Amino acid sequence: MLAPLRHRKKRVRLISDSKGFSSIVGAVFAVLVMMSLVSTVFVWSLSQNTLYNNAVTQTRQADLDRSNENIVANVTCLSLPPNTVSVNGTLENDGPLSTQIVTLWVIDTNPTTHKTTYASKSSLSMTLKTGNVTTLSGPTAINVTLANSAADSLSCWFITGRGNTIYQNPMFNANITIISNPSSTWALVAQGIGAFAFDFTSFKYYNVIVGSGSNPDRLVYSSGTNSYTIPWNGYLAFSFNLTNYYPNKQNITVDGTSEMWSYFPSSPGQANGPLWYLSNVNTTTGIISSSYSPITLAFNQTQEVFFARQTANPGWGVQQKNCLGAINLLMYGTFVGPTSYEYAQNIPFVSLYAKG
Amino acid sequence: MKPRAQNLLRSGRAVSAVISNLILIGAVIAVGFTMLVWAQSQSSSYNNQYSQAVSADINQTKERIVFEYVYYDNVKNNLTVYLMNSGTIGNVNIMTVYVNSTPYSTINLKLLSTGAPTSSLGTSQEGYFSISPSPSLPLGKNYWIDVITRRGSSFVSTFAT
Repeated sequence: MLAPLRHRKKRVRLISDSKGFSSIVGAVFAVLVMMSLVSTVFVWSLSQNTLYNNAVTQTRQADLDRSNENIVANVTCLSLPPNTVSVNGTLENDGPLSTQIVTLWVIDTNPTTHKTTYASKSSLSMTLKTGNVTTLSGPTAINVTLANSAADSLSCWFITGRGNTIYQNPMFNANITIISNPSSTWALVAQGIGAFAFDFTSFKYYNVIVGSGSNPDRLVYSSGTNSYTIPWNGYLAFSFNLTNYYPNKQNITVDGTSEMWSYFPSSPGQANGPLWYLSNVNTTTGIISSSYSPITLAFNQTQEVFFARQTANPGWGVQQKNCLGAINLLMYGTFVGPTSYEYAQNIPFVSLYAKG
Repeated sequence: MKPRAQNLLRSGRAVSAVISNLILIGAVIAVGFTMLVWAQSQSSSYNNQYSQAVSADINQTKERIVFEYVYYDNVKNNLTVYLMNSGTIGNVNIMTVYVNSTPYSTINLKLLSTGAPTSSLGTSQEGYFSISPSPSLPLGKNYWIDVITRRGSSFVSTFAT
């Protein structure tokens, strides 16, 4: 009986004591204020953390996508001297995601000087869907402007939009093939055609300014025209690149009797056209030497040669106006070495249209 | 009730207790609101700082730079580094470049497409910069290069001379 009475008295005293009651209200008020502040900060922090987590998730997904990219570049870098490298072959997307190829890089190492040059072609914007194979050939081949020569070692790689580097499949590195097994390539050239290989793309003709008195004949080197259509008359000179691929890797000194001759089968009489002899031309002044200093073509070296000493007078064009002619090279020389064996080759190389 | 109220009014002690209570409540409310305002300003300041820190972290997380090609010309003692911003955020500035722990802070970044100088790389943009290592780099050795961005990201690659 005493305990309930004691509790009742306590309750009455608590309610009637205003000081005690106000402190409770104050405490509740303080707790509410603190809770509201803490919960606001907590919720806001949570939202910030969510933002961060989303960013991390997206970045990790991007990294995952990047690591899942799988492009096989079965491509070959073809040297097109003097200034072009053509990348041919296929690009195969073996990964689970579409991939964009944005940039192609090509590096060129000269085997003699070990000097490396490089070039890139950006903004390719090639999209490869999953499983697709894109062929780079002919008009779709990617050409990069880069000074090179036939003996250079070329390699390439692609950059994807996600930042991956796709290296060229080493099995398709044509220059490695040439370097690692050169005799087969040289043999193919040398046994089928001869030691000297002719580069069609380098063929140029020049109008010759005929000298008089002490003024020698000369040509304007910078005005050389890359064309197989030539004027039907007048004095002309020609230049193109030859490469010595002799299998025994010997240098060859070419004699001044080496000549370039023409024949126009559809012209009346079918007589031979004019001859041009191998010449020494100063590419700075354009002066054509009236005499000839022997030119040596080193093994595996591409060299521009001139046929500029024309035998016929400008009237040669009478018979071959507006028709096609066959042009041949008659090369004669000796191998450089103690024995100086003879070397001779007839190269049937271009046809020319003599336009009237 | 009436005599009781009259007694209360007549009693000086009771009035003083009411007044003192009112003063006390006013003081508590004033101090309470001051505290509330201060706490809110502190909280706001903390929110701003935290927001900036989180935003900086997010931006840094989104940064990605890939090295497309690193070429050292030993004749000219010139190291050229080709980069691409492959991340999901633009405005990537390069502050410092370390080549085997040697720092270089003067970075003249240029766009790969045009060669025009630029201060930063946008998303998917490619650029390059050149530095002259001092001392020059001996041939036939491997080096590492570390690119530090303004946001504090670090991207490392290796190259051979």
